[in-house]
Amino acid sequence: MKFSIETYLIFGTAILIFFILSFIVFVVYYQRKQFKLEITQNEERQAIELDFQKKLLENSMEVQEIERRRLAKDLHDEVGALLSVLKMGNNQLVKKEVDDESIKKLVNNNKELIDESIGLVRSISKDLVPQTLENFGLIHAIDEFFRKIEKNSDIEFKFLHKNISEKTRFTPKVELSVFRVIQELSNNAMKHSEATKIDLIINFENKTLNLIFADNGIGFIKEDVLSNPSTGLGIRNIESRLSIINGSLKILNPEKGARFEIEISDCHEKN
Amino acid sequence: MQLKEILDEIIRIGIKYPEYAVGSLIPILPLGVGIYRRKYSTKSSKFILFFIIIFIVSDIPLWVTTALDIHNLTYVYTRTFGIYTCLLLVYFIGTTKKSDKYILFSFLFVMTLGLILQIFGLIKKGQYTWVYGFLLGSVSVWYFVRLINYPKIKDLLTYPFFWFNTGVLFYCFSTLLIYFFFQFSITTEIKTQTYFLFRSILEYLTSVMFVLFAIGFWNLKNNAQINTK
Repeated sequence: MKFSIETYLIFGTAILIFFILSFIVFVVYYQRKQFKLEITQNEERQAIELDFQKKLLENSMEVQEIERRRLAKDLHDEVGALLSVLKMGNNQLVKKEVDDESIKKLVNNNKELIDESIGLVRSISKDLVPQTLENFGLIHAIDEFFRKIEKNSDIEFKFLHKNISEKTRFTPKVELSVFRVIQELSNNAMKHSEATKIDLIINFENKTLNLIFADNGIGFIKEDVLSNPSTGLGIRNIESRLSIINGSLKILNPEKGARFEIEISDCHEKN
Repeated sequence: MQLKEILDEIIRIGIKYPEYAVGSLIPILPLGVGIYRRKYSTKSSKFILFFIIIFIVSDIPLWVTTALDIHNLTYVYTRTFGIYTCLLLVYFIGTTKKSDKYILFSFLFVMTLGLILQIFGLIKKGQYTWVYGFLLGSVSVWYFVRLINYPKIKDLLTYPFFWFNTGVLFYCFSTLLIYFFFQFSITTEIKTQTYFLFRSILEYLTSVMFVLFAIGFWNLKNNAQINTK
């Protein structure tokens, strides 16, 4: 059987078209596969980068805490000890009978100043390393912190905790981060909000720690605060601290004041 | 022959061989879509639009010479060379790499040499037209290889140059055998049954290319959105 040139041509062209279409289908399929692969690789790369940043942040926070501890120890052991020696020397001076009234007055004045300095060193060293947090847990530490500020300011603190007892303990990392966040929020409220009342509610449910921190001050707009380098740092610090412990911060603008909602997931109770 | 008689003859040919008429009229589709989407056009897509205009305009003498029964084989092959050259220039404009430009330029050189040899009768007319198709087809395959490894395109089917390239690839490789067999079928008496069959298939395949170009122009808007994202 002999085929004509037309038959060869039609069959040949049909085969070519088939190959062309197959090639195009392959290109589309392969490109999609490549695109998906690229996305997956990008996601993996981002996850690794995020993990690295998280570790870096964690490290820097850890270093910060170590430095605070060292500073607190130095203050207490070195400066505190020196002040105690100074106090003892001054006490001996007080005991000595001096005729000059002006010297007596000066010695008494020195005694007051030394007492004040010792108190201040103790207070600073306590602030640097929250001993109550380490020894008695989050609820006690927050309570003590609030009472202390309440004494020195006109702000009224209201602290409520649900599904979490005073004995409940979390990992030191969680406890310290939450405490520092509350410290930061309270300091911000005292400095900028003109608030007279601060409420804190802590709820622990399904391995999730929820915190609501609200004040009745003048409030603020998150974007404005974040765009200002001097004020935005505090909020960024809070976000960084929370990111280490799987936490997230939501800033809400109620009619009056400011409201912060914090959620820390995968939070385990320490036995 | 007067103008009216020429037009009558053209219409008669168009009715007798509708595929020729379709092949000549189909470029209006991508041209219309291209003009409609001109706002989103790129340098290369503008050149494709320019190519379509050249294609339409250069088609008119073919109809007129056919109607007047004038031997137009030299014009046909020169036009075919022009079509391939224009399509090659689309890639030339689109690429920024110097090495790519050199390769495309060498292809262009080979094609021009072929045309000159044909014009001076050193080689048989149409003998190596398939080489043009093969060279241009290789360029489109190479473009596809590049496209595969370009990860920023989420969906190739919405990328205009995928369609333009598909059109070129389809045209070049599907017409490869036709142009290859031309050298055996075309004699001094070109009006053979084989020749008409070849031309008919060629017209259909050219029409497919222009339809693919139209899809490409339609997707120019998507491309603009990809670029601005």
